[in-house]
Amino acid sequence: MRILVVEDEQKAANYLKKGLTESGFSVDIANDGEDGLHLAGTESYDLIILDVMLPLKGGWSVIRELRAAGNEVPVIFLSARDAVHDRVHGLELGADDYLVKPFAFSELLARIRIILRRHPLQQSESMRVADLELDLPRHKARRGGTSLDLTVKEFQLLALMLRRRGEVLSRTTISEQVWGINFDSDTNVVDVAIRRLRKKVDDPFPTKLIHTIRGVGYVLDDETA
Amino acid sequence: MSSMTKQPEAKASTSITTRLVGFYLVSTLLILLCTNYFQFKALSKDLAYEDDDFVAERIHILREIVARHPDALKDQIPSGSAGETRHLIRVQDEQGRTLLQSPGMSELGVELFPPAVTADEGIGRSTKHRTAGDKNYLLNTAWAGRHGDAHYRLVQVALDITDEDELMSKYLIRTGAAVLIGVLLAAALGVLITRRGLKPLQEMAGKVARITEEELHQRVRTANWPKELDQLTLALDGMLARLEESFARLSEFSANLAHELRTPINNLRGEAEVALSRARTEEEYRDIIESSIEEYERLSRVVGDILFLARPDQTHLPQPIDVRQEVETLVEYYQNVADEQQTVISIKGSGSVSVDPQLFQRAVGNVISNALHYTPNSGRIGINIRSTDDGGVEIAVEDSGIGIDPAELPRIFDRFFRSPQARQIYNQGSGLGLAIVHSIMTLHGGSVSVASAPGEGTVVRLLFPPPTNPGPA
Repeated sequence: MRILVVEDEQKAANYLKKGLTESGFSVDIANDGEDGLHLAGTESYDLIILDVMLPLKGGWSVIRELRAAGNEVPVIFLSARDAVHDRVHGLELGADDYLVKPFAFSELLARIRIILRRHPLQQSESMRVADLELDLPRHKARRGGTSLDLTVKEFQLLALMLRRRGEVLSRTTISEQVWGINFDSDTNVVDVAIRRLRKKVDDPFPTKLIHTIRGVGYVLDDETA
Repeated sequence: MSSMTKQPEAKASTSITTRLVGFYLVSTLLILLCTNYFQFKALSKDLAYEDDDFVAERIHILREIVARHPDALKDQIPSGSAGETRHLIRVQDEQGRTLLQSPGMSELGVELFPPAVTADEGIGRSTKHRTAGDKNYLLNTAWAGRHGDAHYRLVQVALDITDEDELMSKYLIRTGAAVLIGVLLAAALGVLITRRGLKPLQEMAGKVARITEEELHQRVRTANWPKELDQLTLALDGMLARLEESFARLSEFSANLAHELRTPINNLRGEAEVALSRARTEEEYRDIIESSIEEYERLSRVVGDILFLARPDQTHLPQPIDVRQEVETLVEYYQNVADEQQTVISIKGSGSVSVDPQLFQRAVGNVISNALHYTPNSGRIGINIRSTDDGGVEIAVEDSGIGIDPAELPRIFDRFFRSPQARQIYNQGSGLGLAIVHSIMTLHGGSVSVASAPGEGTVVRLLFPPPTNPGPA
């Protein structure tokens, strides 16, 4: 999978390249809008990460010209501008997502994966990791043959983590996906929810599946992180 | 200080002194004119009566003489020239022949005199006549004796009043001069009086001018001001108090802002410098980086909140929402935390409003989050939704928490304000939560109010206005 990162801030470009490469992507960097547009036109990318404020040619213009040329490559905007009309504008121009700086790298990775597998993604009826098994239609969870007594929200939380196993989920993402809450509460709601979930899913069993990534969020995996 | 605001060009206004002196002048002039006019009028009338009486008296005497001693008539003619005597006499018989007349009488023709009255009639008023030689006379005439008598005579008397008229003219000029001097004096005194009267105002201006931003604690009212300026000093002092408070809030805001931004940066820098000062184990590096991510998180949340509050034209996309449903979503979200604190959250009522759903969530979420933070274990939180009379919706979040000190109540919506008690209980907050709630409510044309009793609990009321007709977005 090839990703083009158009970003003029050198440090940001570097860490994006490093992080994405380590996550298995092949990454090219363009340092201004002109360069980015040129690369996007000549090379074939699966996704473009585009800064809004760029030298020579701004992000808005780059995507406008790309789409005008019939190039439908998915685009994720990165910007410090978080006003609602900026987001709306970006999406209207044909971007697939809009991320406000500062963002968690795990968040960017998650969104890239969602966009790239948007089409082939199939919702299976059951999922399993190690000895944990989820029956989605019947809202049943079992581990090692024992039935787990989960509340609706706990089941949803576990299903989310299972569906995106190996992916670090930020507290914001969890709040959004499980409870539909779109703001950062200063209350440790997610931590409490995870603690309660662990009590049922992990505590009675020797192998721990839910792991804390300090400062970032939580991940479900069958091997210790 | 250089923060001078440009004042709009003030219209040139006359000074109070000029205006007051003008009023003094006009009123003095009116008073002097009135009094002097009446005095002059009375004086000239008195003189006229006196002269008239004199002439009538003369005629009367002449009649008596005609009746009793017709021969003595010629003794009544004043001797000497007209310049020495004030009155002149002429006596004619029935046929109009002049029998006797004073030397100066010849220039006053018989026809100048008023119509003669008979002996039975009372003597009429004299008439005034001005001769070609600029002399003024009072003229009167009457018949003396019985009609048909041999001594039936026409008596005419003229009184020279030239001197009196001159006197009156002189008096008039003097009065005019007096009025003029009076007016000038009034102007001069007016200036003095006004200056003296306005002196407290100037002193006050001086006093106010000396109050700089460092001395906002000063008050104007300390001195003994005249009663009329009392209201003004009260108003000025009120303004100073408000200014002082605003200044205090502003400087506290800056201090808090500095604290909230510098603390995480300082932590980050310090940790990184110490980490680099010598070689560490991988475990230590990991720990430091994880700690720094926590600080970044904190920093970016504060920056996000500040930017949220700083945005003057926060765009929002209002749409109708079911309040009950949204509140239930929020309560579900906080349910785990409430369970851990054995706190019961109950919801009553329902309603619908037109708001930006995300901002609504944030406002109500912040209030519920606060209620959870400041309500000790085994507490109660009640959320009451009700429609107001005007079609809006009120959401009241009532808790059985620690409450708010009445002295701190007015400041809880200030950015970064945190009471010492709140800091002690929950030190992670930035003090921006309620400021954000306030900002969101204002944005929607609503309001937020807080009532609290320390030790008993707090009620936060969010009042959303009735939905307006959706205008062009």
